[in-house]
Amino acid sequence: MSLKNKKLFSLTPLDEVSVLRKFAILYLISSIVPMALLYFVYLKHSNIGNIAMLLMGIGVLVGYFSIRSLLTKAFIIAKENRKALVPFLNQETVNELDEGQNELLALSRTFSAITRQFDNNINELKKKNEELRALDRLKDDFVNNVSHEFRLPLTIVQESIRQISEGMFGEVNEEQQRYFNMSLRNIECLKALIDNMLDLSRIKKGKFELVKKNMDLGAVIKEVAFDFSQKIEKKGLGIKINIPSQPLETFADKNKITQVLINLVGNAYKFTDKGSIEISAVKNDGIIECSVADSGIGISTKDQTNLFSDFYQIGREGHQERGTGLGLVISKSIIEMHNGKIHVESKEGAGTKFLFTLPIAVQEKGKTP
Amino acid sequence: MKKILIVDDDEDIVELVKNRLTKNNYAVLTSTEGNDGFNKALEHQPDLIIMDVMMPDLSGGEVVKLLKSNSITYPIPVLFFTVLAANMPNDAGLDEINVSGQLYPAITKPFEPNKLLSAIKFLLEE
Repeated sequence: MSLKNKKLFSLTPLDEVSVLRKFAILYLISSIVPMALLYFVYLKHSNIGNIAMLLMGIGVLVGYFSIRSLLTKAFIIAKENRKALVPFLNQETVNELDEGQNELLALSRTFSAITRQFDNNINELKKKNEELRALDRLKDDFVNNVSHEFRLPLTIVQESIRQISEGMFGEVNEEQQRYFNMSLRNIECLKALIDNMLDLSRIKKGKFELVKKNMDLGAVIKEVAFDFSQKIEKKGLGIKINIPSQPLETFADKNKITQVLINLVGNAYKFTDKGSIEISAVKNDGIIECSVADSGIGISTKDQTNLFSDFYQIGREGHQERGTGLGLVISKSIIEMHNGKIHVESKEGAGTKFLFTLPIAVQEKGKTP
Repeated sequence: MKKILIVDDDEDIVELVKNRLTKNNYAVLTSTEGNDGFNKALEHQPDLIIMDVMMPDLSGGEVVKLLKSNSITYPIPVLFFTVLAANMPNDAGLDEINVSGQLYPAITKPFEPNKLLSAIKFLLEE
């Protein structure tokens, strides 16, 4: 038989009945003929001969049925294979297979068709990926440029209003002052948003640089608490600091850590209407652990999972202070750039606690810690 | 009265800064072009130059290069005034900007008037 028409694994639909019939005839002839010869030539009319004949007959039957059931299973598998492969074949190949022609050629065509399709899919994915990357770069450049372009007009608006409100061009009455203050406050919000967008764009481009030095985290906590104290007391809240008396030396960028603390305390202030805010820090097992806890409205489990995503803001209603939705994203990046971790523990209605870690200070040469 | 030259291509900024500095008892000269700014510095020899970075004819960096290669203008301190400064205060608490490999003090726009005034005082050694 030439390879050309050999059924490798039934891509061509098989005629099961005819195959089984052929098998049965061949099997029976090939087993019964030698058995009969053996009986009539050597064992005729002996007791051993009768028993041997009976046993051999049973053997033949068992063999027949087991091979038949195996064949049936093979047919089922062959059918499945064909079903799986047919989607990849063109009609011409399917026709050829149905005619039982040229199966090897059809198979090789099938495999090339599958490979081609994989290649196409991969190329398409690569192209899409490249397009998305280009779009992302464009977005980052856009944010970067727009943020810069915003700063100049903002400077002019802010400084003009400030000069008028300071009375440089004549006395300002109370009502005018109130409106100037309103404008200036909102200009500050806009400025914070632009600064945050610039920070985020730098972070995403890997251009957000840290200037790390040994610094005392305790001192930064005291500064931030002091800056907020007036605002916090005005709202009828308390502020507590819980730090050890000796300095908490960490190796970090002081400005960026201050930015993180301002963000966390700012959030606590924004979402707390009564009770107090507590900033704690402690040296523990080679790292510094710091937390900002409040007795505010808390954060739902759903919001907690999205908390560190770009532009995510929660519970705006009833809270006058506007945020940018970027503070926590930036804070998280800053902490992680210091090889620290930040996470939140909160329960709705039962306050929120943000915790982050920082490395302890590196030992300078010739100095004892 | 100390003389300050403001070089910035944005006329609104020039007017506002001039206004604030005049009110704080400084004599103010202004220019809205890099080349013109250098010529005014040479002619009037101010005590301090407040310099924008991005300007159409000559960049702030290029003007500073001219100033520093001229023996008359060489000693005049320069305070950059820019939207670009990295927020990295030096030991004196002043932001800094890197202009062709050299660090210069800088004030970032939008600016805090108090920060601008204290930077000026620091540079004028007042």
